[in-house]
Amino acid sequence: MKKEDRLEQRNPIEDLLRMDRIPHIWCPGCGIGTVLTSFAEALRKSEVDLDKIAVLSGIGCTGRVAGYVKLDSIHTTHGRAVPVATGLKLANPELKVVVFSGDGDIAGIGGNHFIHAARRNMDIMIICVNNFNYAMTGGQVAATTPRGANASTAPYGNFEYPFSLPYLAEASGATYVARWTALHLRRVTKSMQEALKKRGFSFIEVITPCVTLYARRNRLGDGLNLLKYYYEKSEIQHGADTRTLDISYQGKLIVGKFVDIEKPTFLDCMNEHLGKVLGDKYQTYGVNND
Amino acid sequence: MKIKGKKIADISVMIAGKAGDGVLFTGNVLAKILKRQGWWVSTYRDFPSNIRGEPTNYTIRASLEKIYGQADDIDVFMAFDCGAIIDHADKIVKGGIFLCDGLGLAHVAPSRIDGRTYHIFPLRKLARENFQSELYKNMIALGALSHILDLDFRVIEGIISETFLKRKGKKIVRKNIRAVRLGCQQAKKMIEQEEIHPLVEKKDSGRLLLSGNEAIAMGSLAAGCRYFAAYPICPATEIWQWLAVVLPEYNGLVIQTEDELAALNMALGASYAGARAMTSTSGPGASLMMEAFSLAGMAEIPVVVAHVQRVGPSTGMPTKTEQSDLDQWVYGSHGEFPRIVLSPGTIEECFEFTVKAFNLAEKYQCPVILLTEQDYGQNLRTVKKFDLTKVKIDRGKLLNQEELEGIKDYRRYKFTPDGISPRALPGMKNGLHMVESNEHDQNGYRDEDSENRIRMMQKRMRKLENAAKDLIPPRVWGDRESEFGIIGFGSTFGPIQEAIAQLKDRKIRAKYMQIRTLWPFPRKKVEEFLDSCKEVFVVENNFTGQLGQLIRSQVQMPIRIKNILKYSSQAFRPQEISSQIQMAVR
Repeated sequence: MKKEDRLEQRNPIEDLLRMDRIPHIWCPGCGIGTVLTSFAEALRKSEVDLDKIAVLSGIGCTGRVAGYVKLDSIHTTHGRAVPVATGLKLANPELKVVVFSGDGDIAGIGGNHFIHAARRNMDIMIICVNNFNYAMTGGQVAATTPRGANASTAPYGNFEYPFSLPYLAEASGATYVARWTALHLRRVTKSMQEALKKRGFSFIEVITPCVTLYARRNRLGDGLNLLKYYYEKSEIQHGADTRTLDISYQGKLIVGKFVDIEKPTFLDCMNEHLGKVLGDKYQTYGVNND
Repeated sequence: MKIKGKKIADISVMIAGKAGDGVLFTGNVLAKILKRQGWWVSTYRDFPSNIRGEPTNYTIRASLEKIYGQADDIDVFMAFDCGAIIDHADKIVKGGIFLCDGLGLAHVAPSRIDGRTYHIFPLRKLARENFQSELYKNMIALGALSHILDLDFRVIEGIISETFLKRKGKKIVRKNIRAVRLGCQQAKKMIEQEEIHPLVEKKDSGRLLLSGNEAIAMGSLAAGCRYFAAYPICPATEIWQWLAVVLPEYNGLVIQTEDELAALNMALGASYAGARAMTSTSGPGASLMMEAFSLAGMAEIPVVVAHVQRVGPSTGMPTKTEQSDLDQWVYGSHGEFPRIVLSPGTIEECFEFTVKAFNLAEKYQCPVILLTEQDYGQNLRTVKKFDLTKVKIDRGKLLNQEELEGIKDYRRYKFTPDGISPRALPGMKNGLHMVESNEHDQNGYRDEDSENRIRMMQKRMRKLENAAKDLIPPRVWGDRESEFGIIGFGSTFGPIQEAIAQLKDRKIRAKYMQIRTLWPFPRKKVEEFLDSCKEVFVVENNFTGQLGQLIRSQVQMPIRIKNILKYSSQAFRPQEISSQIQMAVR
């Protein structure tokens, strides 16, 4: 192959990836790569200073994102990306801090951190790739598995109620909440662009196919079959009441942007409150006082 | 009670009652008065883990000599109720004096039993009749004590104004002073001159009255800590409460986390961003921190954890003291990684070691644990003002922007001879890097290659191999020529020192090694010490003798050590150590 041809074949988001780490570990038909592409696209379109972005992941398939983005990144332990992100953001408020992780990481083991970061309106952005199961460890049931779906630890089907993540996020205090599927590539990108600009706790759920485990175990076919399911059963309802967003097994998927409000962040509140109480004694935090 | 001439040179006053009676408040005021009168003070709180109703007592000890813990006996006892008499009567020394609110009993003539004098002193009745509120019983009690100890009234007035003026105003100050005077007059009527315990007069020398927790908070501020994340837990929270007041004035931040998992992870996030960050905790909280402790080791993120030990296992006794979490930090968490565990023995060391902890954490890019105890964590002691000129900040191999720009292909986990890789921060130009909790290569990329694994393990573990020069060495006290050795860490410092003095009076000479860095273990120094002793006693506030086990596992010589253990939830009294050693060596 000639050099020019190779140049032509360059992936358009190569500049944002650690190409020495590619090929990635995700299975054929998996949706995580699609979401990562959207993220790279959103970064490019937003024209943000890439030196001022940090990406954090927890453990799991999506947790590997931190290792592929060509950005300062930290791959934390299972469920702890959100508290590490909080510490990072508060110690260096100049950074745009993005947590990119899976449903098990964010809503299962890290659920407590998630609701509290939202409650504080911590100025971080969370992208949660929801594939309805714990994939990295072999397809176990998750806090997001729809009732009736089969999982390796629910061999007779799941009978627990799942979380509706947008509802949880809004109820906990998030200022930006959206849900899409891996089919809605451009809309995911747009939501990410909006979230990158947003000051406050922003949350984007992206429902993606897990072909190797979730789909195979439930005999749902391959990646294309799942994308067809998204195509047929998803319904865009911007501003929908988040109480109505429950997902049943192979049932309707209400997607869209549900919340987009302005609210002072944790640091805004702290600076305003302590400034008022302490007056001149207070050194406004996050501002260079030298 | 130690007597110098006709006056007292060392005294212990116990105030007892029920939680909510104001025992702590009265005791703290007395401690301040004694400090202001130029005495060395050490307090000991024995209080339940509840807000109101259960028995509580507070001992204020003052001495002309520097003291680091409680004495063997109580000289003066002030009880807010009769229940306390039953609990503590045996601790009152012969010649001691005992005052108890008879709770409405009619005046009873003082009685003398075994050389102790018992007085009914109607605190609540006096308070109700003169001030229409039982709250004033505390100041009346203080007045009675001022007569017994012959305290300087100007000092008392000064401290009462400092305590109440700002919050409650002049009227309340005057009322409280009147209550003290009333208590003093009543005591004069009741207690004969030969019964009182007048203290030697001294001048204030400007010392501080501090708890170990406060000293750690001050140390962290001096060390440049500007990020503090923690979850509430007894008996560590005072560190945070002090910083919560102070940090907003120093461009710092405190945050109450959702749990201890978040506390240490947030501190790690802040440290990754370049802040000097810290968290504090105790038993159960430390268990939750074990996961992030290992992350700090693997990802080589500096962090300081102050662990104020309480009684375990499980919820245990949250407000009482023990030394049972040594194993948790020395051996704890999954996998193997370098860590440093420091054990201050005094309030001064709490301050110094905290500063040191931040420097060590950044220099060796590893977690550093400050292991203290409820005993000196929450109790107050007088200390000389800290010398801030001695505070030196060493940020280790932290790169600045200029240095980073001079590096081609920056690698966060670069192999270096000493195992420590130069550290860039997120957001810096030319310093793009990844921090990994998985095993990784020099770039921070996840790597499961065996050869890389071996080199990375060696790189990390190598960091502390030559750290001995920077670590705090054990200190030897007492008679160095003696053949009887005592080894201890943390709060046993005070009682062991006094036990050595008691043994000396009984013609037994002993020396004492205070272990101040528990990990990496100071093997050579401990071996030298063991080698110089015929018999060695390891004194610990726990059941299994964790320090003894650590010594056995680390020294490379045949040894015989005896453990002196106490796990009653109370700190040692000197006599408990000296008598056991005396019995063993005779």
